[in-house]
Amino acid sequence: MSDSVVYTRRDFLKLVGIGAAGAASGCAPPQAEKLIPYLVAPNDVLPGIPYWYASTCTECPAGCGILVKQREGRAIKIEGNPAHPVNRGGLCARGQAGLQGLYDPDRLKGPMVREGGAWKPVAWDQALRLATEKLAPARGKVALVTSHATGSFHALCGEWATAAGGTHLVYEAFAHESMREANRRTFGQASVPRLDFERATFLIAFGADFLETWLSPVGHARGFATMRARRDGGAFVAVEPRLSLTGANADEWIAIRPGGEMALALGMARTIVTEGLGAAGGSGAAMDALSAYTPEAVEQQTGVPGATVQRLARAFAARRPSLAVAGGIAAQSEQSVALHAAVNLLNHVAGNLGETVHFDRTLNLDAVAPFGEVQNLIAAMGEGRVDALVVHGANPAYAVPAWAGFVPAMDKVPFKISLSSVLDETAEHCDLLLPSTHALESLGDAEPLRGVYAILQPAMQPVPLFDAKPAGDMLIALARGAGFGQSFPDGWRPYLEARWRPLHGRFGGGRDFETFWRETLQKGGVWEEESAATPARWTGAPVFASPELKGTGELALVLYPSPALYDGRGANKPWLQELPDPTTKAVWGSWAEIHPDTAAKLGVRNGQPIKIATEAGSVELPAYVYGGIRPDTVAIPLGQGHTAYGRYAKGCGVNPLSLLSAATDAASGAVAYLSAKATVTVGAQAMDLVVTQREKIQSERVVAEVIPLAALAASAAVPGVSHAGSHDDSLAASAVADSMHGGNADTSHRAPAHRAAHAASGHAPASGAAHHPVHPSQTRPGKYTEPMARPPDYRPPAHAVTAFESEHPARSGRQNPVTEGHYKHAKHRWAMAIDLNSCTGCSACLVACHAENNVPMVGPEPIKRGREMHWIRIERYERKLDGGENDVRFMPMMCQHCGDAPCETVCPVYATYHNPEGLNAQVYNRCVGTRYCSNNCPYKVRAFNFFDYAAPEKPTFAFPEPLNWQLNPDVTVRSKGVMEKCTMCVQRILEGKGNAKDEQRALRDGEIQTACAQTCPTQAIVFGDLVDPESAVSKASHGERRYWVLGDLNTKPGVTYLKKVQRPVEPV
Amino acid sequence: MSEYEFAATASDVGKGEHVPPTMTQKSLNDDVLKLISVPGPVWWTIFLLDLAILLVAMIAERNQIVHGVGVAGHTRPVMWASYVANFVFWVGIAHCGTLVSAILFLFRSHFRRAVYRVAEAMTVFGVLTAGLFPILHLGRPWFPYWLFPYPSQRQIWPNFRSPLEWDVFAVTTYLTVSSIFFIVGIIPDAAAMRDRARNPFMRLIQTIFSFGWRGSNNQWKHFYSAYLYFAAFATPLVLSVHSVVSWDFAMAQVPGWHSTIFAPYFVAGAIFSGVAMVINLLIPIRWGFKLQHIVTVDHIEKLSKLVLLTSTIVGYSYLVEFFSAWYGPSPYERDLFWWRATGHFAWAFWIMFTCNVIIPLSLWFKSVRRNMTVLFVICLLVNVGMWFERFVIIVTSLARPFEPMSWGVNYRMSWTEGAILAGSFAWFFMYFLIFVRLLPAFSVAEIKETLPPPMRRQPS
Amino acid sequence: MKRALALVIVAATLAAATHALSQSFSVQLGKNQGPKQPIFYSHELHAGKLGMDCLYCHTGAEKSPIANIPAVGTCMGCHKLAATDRPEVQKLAGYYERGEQVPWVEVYRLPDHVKFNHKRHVKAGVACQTCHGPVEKMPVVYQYSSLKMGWCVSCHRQNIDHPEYPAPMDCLVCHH
Repeated sequence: MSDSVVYTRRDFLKLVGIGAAGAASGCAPPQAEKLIPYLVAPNDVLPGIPYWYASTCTECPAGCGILVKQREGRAIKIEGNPAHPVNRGGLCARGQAGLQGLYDPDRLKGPMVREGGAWKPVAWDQALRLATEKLAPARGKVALVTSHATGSFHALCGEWATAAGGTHLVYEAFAHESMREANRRTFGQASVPRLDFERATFLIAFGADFLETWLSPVGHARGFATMRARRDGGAFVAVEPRLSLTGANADEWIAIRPGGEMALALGMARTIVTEGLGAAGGSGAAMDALSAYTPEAVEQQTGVPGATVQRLARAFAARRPSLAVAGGIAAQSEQSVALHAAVNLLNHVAGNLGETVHFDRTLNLDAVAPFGEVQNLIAAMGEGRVDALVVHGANPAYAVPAWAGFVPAMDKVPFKISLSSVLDETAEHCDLLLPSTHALESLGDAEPLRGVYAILQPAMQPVPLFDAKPAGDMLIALARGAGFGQSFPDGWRPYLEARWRPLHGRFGGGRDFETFWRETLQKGGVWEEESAATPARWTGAPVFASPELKGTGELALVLYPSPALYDGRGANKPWLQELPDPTTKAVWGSWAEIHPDTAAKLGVRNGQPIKIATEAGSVELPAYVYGGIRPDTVAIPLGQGHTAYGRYAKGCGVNPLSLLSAATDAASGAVAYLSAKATVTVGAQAMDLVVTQREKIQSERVVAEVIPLAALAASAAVPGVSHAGSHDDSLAASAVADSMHGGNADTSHRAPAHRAAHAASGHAPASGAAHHPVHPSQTRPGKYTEPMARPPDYRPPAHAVTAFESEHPARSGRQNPVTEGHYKHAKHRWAMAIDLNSCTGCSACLVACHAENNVPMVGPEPIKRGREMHWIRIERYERKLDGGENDVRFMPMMCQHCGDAPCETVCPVYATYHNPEGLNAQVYNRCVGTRYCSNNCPYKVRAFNFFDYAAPEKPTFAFPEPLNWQLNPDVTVRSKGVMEKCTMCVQRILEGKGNAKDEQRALRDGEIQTACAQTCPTQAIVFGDLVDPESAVSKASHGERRYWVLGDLNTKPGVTYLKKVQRPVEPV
Repeated sequence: MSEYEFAATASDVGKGEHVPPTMTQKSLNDDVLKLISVPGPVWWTIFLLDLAILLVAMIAERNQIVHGVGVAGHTRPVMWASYVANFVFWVGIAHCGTLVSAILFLFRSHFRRAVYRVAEAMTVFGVLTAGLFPILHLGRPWFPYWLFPYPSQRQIWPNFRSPLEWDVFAVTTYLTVSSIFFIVGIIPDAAAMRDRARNPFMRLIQTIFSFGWRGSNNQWKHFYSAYLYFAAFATPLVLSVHSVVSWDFAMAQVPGWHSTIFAPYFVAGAIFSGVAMVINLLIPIRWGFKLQHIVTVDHIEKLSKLVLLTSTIVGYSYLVEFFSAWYGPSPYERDLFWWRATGHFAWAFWIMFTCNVIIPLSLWFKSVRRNMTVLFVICLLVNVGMWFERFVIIVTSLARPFEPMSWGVNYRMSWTEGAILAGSFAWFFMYFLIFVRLLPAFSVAEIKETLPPPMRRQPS
Repeated sequence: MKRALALVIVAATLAAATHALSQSFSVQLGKNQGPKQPIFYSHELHAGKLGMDCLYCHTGAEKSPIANIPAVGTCMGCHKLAATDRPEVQKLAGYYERGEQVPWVEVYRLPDHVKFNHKRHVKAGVACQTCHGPVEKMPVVYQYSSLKMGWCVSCHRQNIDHPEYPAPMDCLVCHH
């Protein structure tokens, strides 16, 4: 399928030419355009028709399955692969942004060699000859450093290194080696288990940011949402010194002293054992280790009250199966193995091993080198034991902490080759650049989970602006040239196929290899539905010790991975740079989070510069005054402060790794990110803190609403009530989507992927939380908070009709929709239901929207003035932050497509009007830019083109070549002076209706999905047709938690929100 | 007795007031028509300075058209700001003219005779200035004609539900009527000019403006009936036009805009600023051209009483807005008004309140009303205050929308907007400077009605 | 005299305005104004005399929003053998051998910010000639329809109550 798309680069260029012309905007005078056809028409490619290619995401080691949309030979959109076991349809912001890595304008144009200080382009054959000349003599002293690669490429690298008589090092900044080490010691399994969030009824996270960067965030988020969709339990406690995005989703936040997590875990375990609550009972060995951790001792060590320790322990043991997860990067200290071991012990005594902690389909991080090996390599390079270094994918020069001295050691290596496709920090220190193709341009495979064999296939011909070669081919060519490649086949593809022969044997089911291969490419890989679990049992506890933070400072320094930039590899993508950080809502830079008390002591206000100094060094950053952090702690995000890596990354923010002094985990050798104490003083100057949301207090307005579980239970218990909301046994709005779609086996990538609604079914409503008091204000009528129990003959109130039910079935064409305020007689009423209980605030929907709708990224300066162009935003409201009961609310906000839209009546030229299917339309080329609509919009969701972001000749051009190749040809690129906003992806609606028409059938519910709904890892957004009473969105919109934002304005929004559920943590 | 005898009374002696000689028909003609002569160096200096400012504004506007409205300080949520404030301000200025000339004419209050021509000129030029802003605040200022209902091949029409659409009609109507009224009023004087003019260019101009006036009884009869008719026709416009302008805001549901008091409140404010502006124009003219005997202190004082009256109405509106916000049910409204008086833009609010409510209170004192210097300064401050009133209404209401999410994004005025604001004054005065040199700035014909008829000397 | 002059001026203005308006509504463009193509390809010959089906070359018209320009390979499908002696055909062969595309000049220019979907119209049974005119009689193809909004809308208005394929009047259908 991939290689059946055959056209030459030339065609490709020309094709893109057309596309660009199509996307060009503004009032250009009509001029004769050239129309360039294919030279030889590929038999299955037709201009104007999108093609989808299954592949695997390489933006982080999780290895989510993706589907890449290709139009006229250009990859224009990435979506999650619903059939894929890792992510089941969802995809995170980083995965979506992979496209901008492909179209990065700063990618290398071709091979280059360093002469003197400067880079000089060379021809490929010359470059390869040079490389082989240098490699041949270096045999035996060659080092190959790659990023996390599983499957064939990893095997190739291994063989290559062996043949070269050198070493192969798989470098990942976040290698989770201490977790693997701890599992080896306690469970006898040196691997990363599969954590079953779905089944857990009580979850406690000791510093693990499992919704952001930890292991497999998309998969976790989906399981987490299912867990939170329960009426019984599903409580979540976060234990961390700084409230992360993950912690913000918790019912309770234990603001623990940095490094105290282990003691708390052991204290809980001890309580469980001593009180005999556990299933497994206390194994003797464990008990000895635990005896020291009495509640009092824990309180004294961590500052967490002994009562709390016992309360949590009892809840953890009572709600079974429960789950405890540990060890995000932010919590990776000099004792992180001990922390992991403690949490393993906690899971063990509570009997979760095999219940929620499985060693069957383990995350394939086994090959990633522990930091110890990186240090060995550094030593080897430093001592001149490496004559040639080959780097691919990894960027250790940036990501290895300065104290480890990677760069100076690397500079000692005589000859260094980089296969990176962009000039990152590591490549800058190399002597020869052999750019390899981007993952979306290359063929390959991966094994993200054990037993899951996924495919990487090129979604397009390599971008012709960049003369790159597949890394596999290059390695083989180098090996042959250098004379140690005899064992290799004559290219990467044959090597790959050879690797797949055995799999063909296992999964082929009798089909010939070609068929098998083609089907695998279509499906995205092969995997068993269930993998056998390798037996894991408690083998004994290691010595437990709490970490000590080094340094003289009074504040503990917490470095946490940025949810958008991961370890820094996202920094060259505008979409991710301009993605408001879920916690601070800051873009394009770094900051330091400090507690209001600390700020008061220093006398700094939000955004003012502060100086953070440790023994290793100091940085100046704008302060972000944040209640969600301990007064004795300062937190800085990782991932910024690049000195190279393209125009978007370079010089943006600060790299806080320079603040670390030599410290590694005692047992596993992992980098101890949590190891330093810092002194904070008022700074002289720092970059600005650019935020998109300044006010985080929602005041007494109906914006992001919550409802206590007890109120729900009460409502469900009302006798004799049968209402559409009775589906609401599970709170998840979109669980309905599945209960509906479980039936038809529609595995097209558009259908909402099958979610585990079953996990919720069968639990009696009203169980749990019976004692929790309902605050009167939350059941007071009129505040959109009363549980909506509807009698059988219920008709929605008049003001709800347009949002919930169309008034008449059929529309006569005579009515001109433009003059028709209400879409009476509509065939459809497109609408959304957004479940605040499922939304984790991960912001994947933003990037999906940018990609689908050609939203320009405008950079920090305009955003300072509130001129961001986003069509959808995640609003964050903080009601209670200071430890204990936690109340942070995330709310996706886009155009509400109001039934009575304030914007429509005021537009003097009908540029915005109500279309007969309930959409609030915005016609760009009718807009004259009075901006009255935005003034009158209560939700402020309209973005105005203050400058020309679409004109290449303007300084404000937002899509420098070839970023503009990603533009969606189905969506207008807006020009200067017009208003724009969410269209509910009308181009997708039209396409869906067209398909249905072609097939002479009615639209299927879920067949049309907006970009945001499609990518949402937790399926918090449901899109559909309100006219169809059976549609998922209708049912969700009638759910008992429904309400409208600012409903008292009576705008009759088409977007219905479902209140977030507040859960008690206490056990029943 | 005619009011001109007051001018000569002792009341003015020692007030530094120029005591005029008893006025005759001839001296009046000479005094008024001497304005219309080849301008001197002073006039040229002022005029060129004025054009220089206008040029800067034009550069700024060109800049804005090329780069986009972004060069102005607008942000989300403050999508309207100084441009719309200027529009409302100038429409307001334009109001007094019709009031003085039409309404006072109907009420037969004769003190208008000396001042109405200037007021009318101000009206026409004010509308001409105001009319610019709806166009140049657009995101795509090359498409304003889409707001006019004309049959186009696209087969689409403007949205008649939009208050902006109503504005189009209100402002164009007002421009038409006020200019007609202005031009008709000039006819007799223009004829007098034509007969005196030596310079052929002047004669041509005056011939055009005198529409073949001969001064026959018949013509006088028709002239007065026509004038009465136009006065009656223009009067309701004074109320309607600014009401419609106020509905740009009142019809929106933005807290701070969505209020029923806006129409009367805006009309009062308009007259307030308009009269103040008339005074600001008259005082220099009568001083510069030594016309203290034509535009007497009494005229000015009567106008200043009008200022006092309207200022109290405006002040009342301010207070009532706060009361209803406090008394009413809407938490948004309450929050907004509290923020308006104490929040980020409190300074603007208090400038407005001081200039429009507190300072004019001094006009209760006759001595203040009759002191030209002080009165001039007060009226200047009133106009500053009235500009800030529009700024406060527009910007503070928008900066505090329903959703807290958008709070804290504050509008900052850019140099482009500053230049264009200055340019609007330059534009206005460009017309005015030409006017005083081209057409009689005072109604000779009407003032003559108050003079004693010319008597031949008694035969001996 | 003066009167007459004034009368003439008024009359002239009115005439000009009327002309402008009617122009803005006009759907027909000047005949035979088609651009010069790199190869003199005659639709009159292929579609007219030889009676080839439009969809033979423009395969996308019924499957895709874009009615594609045929690939050079498609032309060569016949012209490897047919009429190889003609200079124009040899030009074509030249392109093919050089592996170049023929830089055809665009004839129909759709205004900016509007989307047109060939598939929907073809499936609704709109004949190609309705918009493209009697192509089978055109030696040189020219833009037959103005492609102005009014031109689209008037046709949609006529077919708004079409029993099977009612033409939508919703702006969003084309402007998104």
